[in-house]
Amino acid sequence: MVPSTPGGIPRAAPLRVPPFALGADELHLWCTDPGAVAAPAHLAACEALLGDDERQRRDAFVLPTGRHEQLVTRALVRTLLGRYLGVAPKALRFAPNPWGRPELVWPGRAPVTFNLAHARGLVVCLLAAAHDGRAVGVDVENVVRRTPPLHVADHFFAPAEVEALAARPPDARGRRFFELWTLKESYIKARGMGLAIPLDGFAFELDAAPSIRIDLRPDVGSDAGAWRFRLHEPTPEHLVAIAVRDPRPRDLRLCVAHAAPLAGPLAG
Amino acid sequence: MNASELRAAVMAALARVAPEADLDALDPAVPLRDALDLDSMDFLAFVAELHTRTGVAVPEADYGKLGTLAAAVAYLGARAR
Repeated sequence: MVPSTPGGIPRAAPLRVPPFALGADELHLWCTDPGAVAAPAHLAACEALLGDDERQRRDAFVLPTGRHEQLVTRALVRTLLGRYLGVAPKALRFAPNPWGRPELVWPGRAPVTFNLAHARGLVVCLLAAAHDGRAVGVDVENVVRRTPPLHVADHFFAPAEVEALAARPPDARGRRFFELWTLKESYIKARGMGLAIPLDGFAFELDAAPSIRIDLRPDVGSDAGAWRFRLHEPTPEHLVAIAVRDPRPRDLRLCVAHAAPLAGPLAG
Repeated sequence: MNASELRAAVMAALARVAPEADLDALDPAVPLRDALDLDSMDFLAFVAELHTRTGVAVPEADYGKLGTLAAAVAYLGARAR
């Protein structure tokens, strides 16, 4: 295992827009309550942004909550990328990468890199300026309304994580499970390869202040020192994990905004 | 385990990971992810439940073969003792 060196993403600050511009050291986290997209005209406007394949993907969800979250997620990413890139949201095109993750189709490299996640009651989109070697991943869980499946850790997590979890007092294990899970998901999502990366092939150490450390098994990666992580609670119910690979040894600033697509700062 | 025991094991595993779902109405041919709104945490919980209930440890390369109820029962049928 190759441990990462301490590096930081300090505590979040509120994001002020406009302008919709990403500084080289900035991470922008947009948070949307899907319940805020409810008025018929608002729903119709979001719906109108979607491409045919996005609509089909949305319609494949059998449960109404899943369909709605998918609609809000796609409307949010189109609205945000439209603002940051200065193009019409509906004109954006997406195509799946070899592991199925939808990526923006852009001539050359898009100037913005992003990642999406959703849980009950929250959709999030993380954006950063694109740089050589940089990748971002985000995950969110509802830690109040969801019961943590602790046996998932026993089956799939790295031995050091299973031990650290078992060492916690029983009433603190659920919280630690969600912290580890969201961090692991954020790392996997930043890599863009889904579960093709084994969950026991990398381990997080959360008690090594001041920052979160990752240990990578050699078959998983050798660039642990380039990764920065952050846990953030955008609401009392939700835990967000952020993963950033940035070969440059600089601190990153996390800026957070709460808005629905086509409303508030994202209106018009 | 015979086919009906395997099907019962899969249904029990699904009931554990998706307790709010109406499994009686589940179409065996519809993707579980869409039908039950399963995310990756649910899916791995499902894989772990299957291991506990059937003894079959499903490798990551085979996750795609558990996509529907019918496919999961068929996959386990070929591997469970």
